[in-house]
Amino acid sequence: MSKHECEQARSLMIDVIEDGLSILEKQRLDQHIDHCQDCRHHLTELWGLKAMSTQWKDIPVPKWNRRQNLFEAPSFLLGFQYLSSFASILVLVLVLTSAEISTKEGFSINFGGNYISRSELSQRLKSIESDQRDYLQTSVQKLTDQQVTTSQLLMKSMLTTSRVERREDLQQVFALVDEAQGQQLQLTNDSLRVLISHQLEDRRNINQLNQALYEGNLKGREL
Amino acid sequence: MFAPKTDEQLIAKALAGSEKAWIAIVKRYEKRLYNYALRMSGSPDDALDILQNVFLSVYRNLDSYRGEGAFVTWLFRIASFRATDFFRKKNFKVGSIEDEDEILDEMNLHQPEQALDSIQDNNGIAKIMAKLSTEQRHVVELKFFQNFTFDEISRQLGISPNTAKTRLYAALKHMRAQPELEKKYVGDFL
Repeated sequence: MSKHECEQARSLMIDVIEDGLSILEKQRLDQHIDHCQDCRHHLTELWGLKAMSTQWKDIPVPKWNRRQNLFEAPSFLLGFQYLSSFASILVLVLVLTSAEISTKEGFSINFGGNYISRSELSQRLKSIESDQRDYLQTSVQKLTDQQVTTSQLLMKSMLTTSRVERREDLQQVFALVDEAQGQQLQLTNDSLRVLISHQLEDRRNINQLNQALYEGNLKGREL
Repeated sequence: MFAPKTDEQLIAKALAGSEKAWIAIVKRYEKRLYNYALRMSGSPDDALDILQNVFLSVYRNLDSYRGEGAFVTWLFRIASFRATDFFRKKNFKVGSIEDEDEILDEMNLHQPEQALDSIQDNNGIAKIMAKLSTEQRHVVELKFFQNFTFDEISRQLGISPNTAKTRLYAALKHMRAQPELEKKYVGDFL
């Protein structure tokens, strides 16, 4: 058997266990393995492997919490699976380096630092308490001062507003008085003008009467 | 009685938020996947870990299943990824189980009710599989135990059908040296 024929036969063997060979291909393979012991053995091994797979006895799945595993898995923690390890390492480093974290307000954490005795701790607490009291008093004083200043400013502002309003009111009153006086003066003028015109008319009438009397006297004398 | 729902029906319900449908999908395939993982890893504990990883991955990626091809093909594609990932993380190597009786002991421990001959059958197979590389084991598993075609295997493993065949032949060559296979299974055909 040539090497080429064996290669061709072996490429068909995989398909024979899949039932993927045509009748013609199957006949060709059968003819080859009838005469080639090596390929026959090869095919037998393939079938042996196939047979092995059928010998497996399925093993039941051990009990596991399907619901918890699927629905309660903390998906938001994906990518944070090393968070706990990281936190542990961080704490270890802090302890080993005796790190101290403190704030101005007196908050303090000491990782493996020096031991503080009870009396020292009590003293520190008293000191913090005293500082707090002073701070409170200063704050109250500051607030009181601020309140006084605010009240003064408010009063000043109210007085200024009131003064402006009064000035405006007075100006309005003066304007009204001026207007009334102007009207009165006009009325007086008009009355005087009428009076004068009446006086002039009276005087003309008197003159006319005098003239008439005088002319009448003259006529009477002539007669 | 109600007819069992198809995979597609269950998937549609699961995607709509039905927990019941999810559990039904899991129950349908968990035994098959567990035994797949058992043959791949040779360890019941690792098999359960792989099984859980596979279903968690399915749960998170089901919306990306487009219905192209059978669901089981897609499922085993994910299983192949997860198993490979698991072995990579565990730095799993061929023949890493030095004491082959370890497999037998572990399986006995987990399956006390199993008949002795079936335990021996399974252990014989697990021992043969343990001798193969992860790539070869994948192809043998998908070809002979899951009965996928080479086209399906190539899609599941992201390799060409010819590469899949080459890996199978390499596995066969490797297994030829296994007295268990030769004696127990090949002997029947000779």
